[in-house]
Amino acid sequence: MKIAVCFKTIADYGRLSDNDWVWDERHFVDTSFVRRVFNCFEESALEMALKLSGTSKNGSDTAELTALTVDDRRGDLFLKHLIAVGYHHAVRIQCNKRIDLRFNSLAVSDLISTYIQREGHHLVFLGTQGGNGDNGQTGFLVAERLGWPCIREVTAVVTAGSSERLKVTSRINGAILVQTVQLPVVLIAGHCLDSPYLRIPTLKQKLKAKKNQVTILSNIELGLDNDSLVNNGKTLIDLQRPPVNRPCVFLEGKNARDQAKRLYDEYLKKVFT
Amino acid sequence: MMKAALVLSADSASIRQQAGEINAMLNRMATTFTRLELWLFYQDIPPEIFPEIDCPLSAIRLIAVEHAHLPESYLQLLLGLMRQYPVDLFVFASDGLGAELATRLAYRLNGNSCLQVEDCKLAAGKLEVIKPVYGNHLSARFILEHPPYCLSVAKQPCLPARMTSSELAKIEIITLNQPRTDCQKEILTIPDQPATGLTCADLVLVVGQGASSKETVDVLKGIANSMGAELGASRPVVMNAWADMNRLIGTSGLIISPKLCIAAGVSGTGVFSVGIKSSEFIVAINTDSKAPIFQMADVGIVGDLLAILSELEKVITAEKAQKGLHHTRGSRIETQ
Repeated sequence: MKIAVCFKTIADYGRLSDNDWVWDERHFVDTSFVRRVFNCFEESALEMALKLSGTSKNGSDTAELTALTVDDRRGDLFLKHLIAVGYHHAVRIQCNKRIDLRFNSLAVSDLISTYIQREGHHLVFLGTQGGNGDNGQTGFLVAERLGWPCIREVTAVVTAGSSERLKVTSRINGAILVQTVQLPVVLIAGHCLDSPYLRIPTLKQKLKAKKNQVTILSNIELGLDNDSLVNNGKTLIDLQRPPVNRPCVFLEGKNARDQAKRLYDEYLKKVFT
Repeated sequence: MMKAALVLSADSASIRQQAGEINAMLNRMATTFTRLELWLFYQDIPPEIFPEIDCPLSAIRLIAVEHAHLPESYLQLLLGLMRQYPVDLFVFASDGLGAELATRLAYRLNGNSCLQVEDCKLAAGKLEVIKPVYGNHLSARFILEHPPYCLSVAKQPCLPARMTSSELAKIEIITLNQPRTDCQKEILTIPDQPATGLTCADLVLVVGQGASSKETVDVLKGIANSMGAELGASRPVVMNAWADMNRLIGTSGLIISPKLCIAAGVSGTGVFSVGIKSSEFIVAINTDSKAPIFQMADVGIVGDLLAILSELEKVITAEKAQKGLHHTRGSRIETQ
């Protein structure tokens, strides 16, 4: 079974102050000075795929895992991490810098599905939402472009009898759904309590991973020209910072008791009486 | 002037909230519709009551869907409906199904889609939409060029729609051939955790990663009980299994608007903040004075959440005792 897990890394927005939310004439916000992290849903997807691949009793891998990202060179650090924890291939698709992919899920899905078809994968795993665009559409569009079934909000996946069938658990609209599906399929990770975080590599694994190279592909190498990716029928007009209307009053006090008393007496009394 | 269809599932437990969110968007829209229809999917029995929509409806179409858990079934039926009753705009619910249907239907119809839409209007023959971006820290305005436009509305605080009967003349049961779906087999449905009282609670204590452990969250649960508050949680708390998934607050969980929200140990990321921003009064407690949560709070306390909340519980308990009110539940917390 050939599994591709598509992920993106995002700036840790929690580390940006109110004054950092400014943008240039192309509507780009500079987040280069804060650390980047895996999108939380894709981190779950990456871990779920590692568990799914597992190892058989004789120790041989049962699946071939590829970590795929559409990013600039900042993605390489994360791809190296993924090689260290057990991914067999690390691939980064780099687009022409003129193409703004932030709000263009059609283009991202085109790049991913073209790669998937070229490499003959059987399972594509993605996250649910996130990234600068908060588009939430890439997984669905990859499924449409490939003509594969799609299951969203996946919380667990195991093989079902053979490597061509999977038992997939998802949490949908007040119910937990367990379904057996035939490959190929696109799975979109939800809140996965069993695999919330990606495992951490050992030093030995990190050193071993240094020998493996990240494969870098351009959109042209995938046969997708710049113009075909740019035109998606959706044009960004402007950005706005939603107003923050609450001037926070900080309550000082000698100790916790003092602060709690002030909070109650000055603000909460009317709520509790 | 557009023809539009609002698409909802009658079997969804959140139908009143979903219709309320659609009403919130319709009320902000300056666009008038030549036709506005409600397309309501149901699994077994046609519904007899319907969510009240704030704009006049031209028709309510009821469509049976055999495989309610398979989006492909809805997509095939929607394509059939589009052939019979063409529209320029589809509005879907804010849930995962709405997002999936909006995206995939637009792709198949060569239209444009956008999710989490807060506002939209026609501008020079094209659809202008506003939606949150950058983890809910910013809003973006886009122009969508190609109809049919398929939108899912943003999760937002709203008045849940009332369920009422409707004029029979407007209701039509549509019979369509059920699509065959053979890739998914052996489907088992298990009821999820029951809903909490969070969405209608007056007092909510929301705990974040600052709680640091399941033990502390359990203690805070006791304090919430003692204060008469519901307990909510941020994503890290839920993902660490310190609290149940049905207590998750934020864009991928619940949107609440209580009279008082105490956010303790929550950093205040954009995706979380949208879940509490409509609270009448927000108190934030965090050890980091620069945490973004303070930007959306009415009152902030920099300090240890457990110490402050334990003291607050004592104050409230003492006040209630003084007024002769009885308490049967407490958190059994002792602090120095």
